[in-house]
Amino acid sequence: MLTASNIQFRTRNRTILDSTNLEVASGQIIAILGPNGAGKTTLFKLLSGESACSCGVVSYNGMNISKLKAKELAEVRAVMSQHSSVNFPFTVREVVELGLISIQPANSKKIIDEVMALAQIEHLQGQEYYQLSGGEKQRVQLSRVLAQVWERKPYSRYVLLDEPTSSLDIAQQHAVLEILLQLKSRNIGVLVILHDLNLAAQYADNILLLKSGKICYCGPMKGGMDECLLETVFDHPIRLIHCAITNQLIVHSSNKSKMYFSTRMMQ
Amino acid sequence: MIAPTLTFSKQRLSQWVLVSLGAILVGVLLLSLTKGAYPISLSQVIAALVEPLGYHLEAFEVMSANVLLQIRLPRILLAVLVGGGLGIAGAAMQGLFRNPLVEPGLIGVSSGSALFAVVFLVVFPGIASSFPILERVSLPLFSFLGGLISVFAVYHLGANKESENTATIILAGVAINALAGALIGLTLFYADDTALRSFTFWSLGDLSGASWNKLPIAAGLICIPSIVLLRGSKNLNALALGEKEAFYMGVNVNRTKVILLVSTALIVGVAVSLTGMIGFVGLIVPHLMRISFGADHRLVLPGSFLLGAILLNFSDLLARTIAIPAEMPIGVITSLLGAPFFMGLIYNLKK
Amino acid sequence: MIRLLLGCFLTVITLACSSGEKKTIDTKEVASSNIITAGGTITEIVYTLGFGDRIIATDRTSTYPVEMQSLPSVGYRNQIKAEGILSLVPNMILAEEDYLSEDVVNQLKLMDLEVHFFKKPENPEETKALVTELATLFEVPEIGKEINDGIANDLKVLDDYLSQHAKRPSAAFVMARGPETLFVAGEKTFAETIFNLAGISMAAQGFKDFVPLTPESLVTMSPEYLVLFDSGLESLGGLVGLANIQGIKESKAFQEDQVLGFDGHYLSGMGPRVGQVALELAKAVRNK
Repeated sequence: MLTASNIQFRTRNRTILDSTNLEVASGQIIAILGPNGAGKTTLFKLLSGESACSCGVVSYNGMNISKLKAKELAEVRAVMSQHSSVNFPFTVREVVELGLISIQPANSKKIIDEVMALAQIEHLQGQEYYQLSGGEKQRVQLSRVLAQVWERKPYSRYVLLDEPTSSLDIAQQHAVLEILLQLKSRNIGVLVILHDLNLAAQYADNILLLKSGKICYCGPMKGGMDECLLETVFDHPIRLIHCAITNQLIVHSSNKSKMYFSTRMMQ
Repeated sequence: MIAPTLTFSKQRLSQWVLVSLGAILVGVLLLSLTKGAYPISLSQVIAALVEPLGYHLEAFEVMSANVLLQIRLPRILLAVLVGGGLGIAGAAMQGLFRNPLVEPGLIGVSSGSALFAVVFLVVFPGIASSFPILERVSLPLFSFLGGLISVFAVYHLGANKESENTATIILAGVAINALAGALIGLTLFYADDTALRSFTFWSLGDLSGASWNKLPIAAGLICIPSIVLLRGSKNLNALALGEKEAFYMGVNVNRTKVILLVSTALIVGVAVSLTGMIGFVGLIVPHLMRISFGADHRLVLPGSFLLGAILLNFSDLLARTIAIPAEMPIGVITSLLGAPFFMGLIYNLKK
Repeated sequence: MIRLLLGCFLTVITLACSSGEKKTIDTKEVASSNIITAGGTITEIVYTLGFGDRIIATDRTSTYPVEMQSLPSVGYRNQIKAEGILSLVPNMILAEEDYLSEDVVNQLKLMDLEVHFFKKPENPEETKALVTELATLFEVPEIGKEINDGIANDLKVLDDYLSQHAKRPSAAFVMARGPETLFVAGEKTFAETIFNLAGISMAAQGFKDFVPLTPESLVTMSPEYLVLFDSGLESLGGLVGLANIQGIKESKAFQEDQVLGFDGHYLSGMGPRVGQVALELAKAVRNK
């Protein structure tokens, strides 16, 4: 279990993240959404260990993060940032292999082959990283992150991702999220920041909605799919439309004035 | 570029590369032993080398043996140490700064070391003559201090956690080079002591002062940090993705940075205190390694040591045979090779 | 594997350091030696002692006699390298102290050769001492005495001349290596010594050694005569070029055409001809 108790982040002028409690269990995907400036990145940094929290505790499998060395932390969690640059002519395979730096797996070749197959980049493995497109690079980074926690272990591991779908087209977006679904069966818990409510709705088990540093909702996805709630969080009219074909709720938002007009008309 | 698709053969390839470079180095060393102002043939070289072991060959000739063993051999070994040290330090710096344009001379580490070496010789002139052993250790270490301050200064001025900032790093280096250069010139201008050596020595480098009593300390102070750097190769690979990513992958970033900075500064400081500033070796050599064999630091670093040793020996060979009986300053040769190479690099970056 | 290589390397170096013994050869007779000299004064004295034909190579400051410059040159000051000297196969090296770089000195001492260093004379007494020293080395003390007597005689002639000419003009020595590099000689330089010998007062007071010439300084010193090396004058483009130097053209000496040039070694070498050059200088400033 990845738990955060009472973590917060304040600067001199303002509170970026107010006291927050959170739990991520292995085998579950939690999506974090919210408007820009809500504090998602700050929360992410506190959970990943990049920033230290002045009060409150983040713990992985019961171990306080501040007491873990970088190597020990790397054994329980892997992080995919939004942007990554590689300044040297590494090949794709070399980049993916970097994920195993702190891990001593029994069979590294097998792991690398598997994660590259999963991310559908095996055909690129001999190429140089800088020659790839934005989408391909993101999949390589994902592959590397997966390699870090791919080996099966008796204890839970966690993967934290910051907008892993930002440069990807529709097909690739779904491909990535499908991969995250597969992680559930490997004793891995997933925390992912997303911008697309629909994607979150389709793949995540739980959702955390942040606004101005405060949690507006944290719980099962079903409970988060509430028009009033979503409108409050995003400051924009939102309609949830039930699609009979897929039996799913679709999140719809459009130009403000139109919505208000049609709402008024209906009243 | 050779891009192996299997980990297994990549390791084999690395070993072959290093063995080949080692063989080339030995070849260059033998060549260097036979060339120089004083004519010594290969048979005389061999005779001179086996004589101390007890085998007397006909080709043995006293004077050539003396020249070979007392003047030429220490010089060649010094070139191996300094060339190798500068090569591996350049490779490590490029990895640390995540920037392929970085090298000890360009970013001011060499000039910072030279400044402190010159200041040491001015402030403690007595030590040189009264305590030769102390001087042999304290001069390189003081020089190291200068290099350390420079490298930390450049790192804090120029390097940035998130983004690449080539311009700032190079500019920081330019500033330090200018300041150190001016201060060196100033010190040499006012101090009137032949022990200070000339401005040409410091700014263009000179291997002719090599002698056996300088080598052991040099060897220790260059080889040991080189081994430390080799062990950090894996971490350098991780750092190539960024400090944040390296942390996520389990690298203790701060400790790694400090170790890298200190080790490279030590190598450069020691090298500069012995031979003055020799530029461009640390720039050319890691590049050649990378474009030929890939960017994996586990091969780039040891390869850079060997290739640097080869390059500097070869350059020194040219320096002392082009204008017999005089010698061209070695920095002239490395700059003539390195500056066009540097311009080519910049041109390629534009594309 | 590289670690293995580095380890081997360290071992080899440590072992090799212990094999630093040099071999000995029979010492040759001094008279039949091949000599390389470094330092103009030494060259001149060796020549004057009669062993000029034993010199096989020399440095760039050895300009007397002129034939010395047609010998192979080993270079200048700390540009001189040990292997360069050794490649000419000398068996004796005579050099001025503090002329070669320390490393080269150490390397030469490790060779099995006769290597001797001599302090550069800073006044005629030291000149005579050096002559005696070299004469002893070459086992010709009587020739040495002859030379020293000649020096003493020259000085006496100089003394006589000065006692008849009470005037004591002032002068400044300018060291020039091109229009950008100009220095004035102060106290504790050869210029002070030679000026004193020639009965000339130093216009440059209050500082030691060589100081860069600034446009105003020379005018302030206002020497009656300017003395330069011939090579220095040449590097400035002769008297014509001299006119372009700020500070010199405004000086009284230049304007009254009182600029003197002397051969560099002749003037500053403090060699056997020291008395002669002092007399020449003394006469040159009293000619008008």
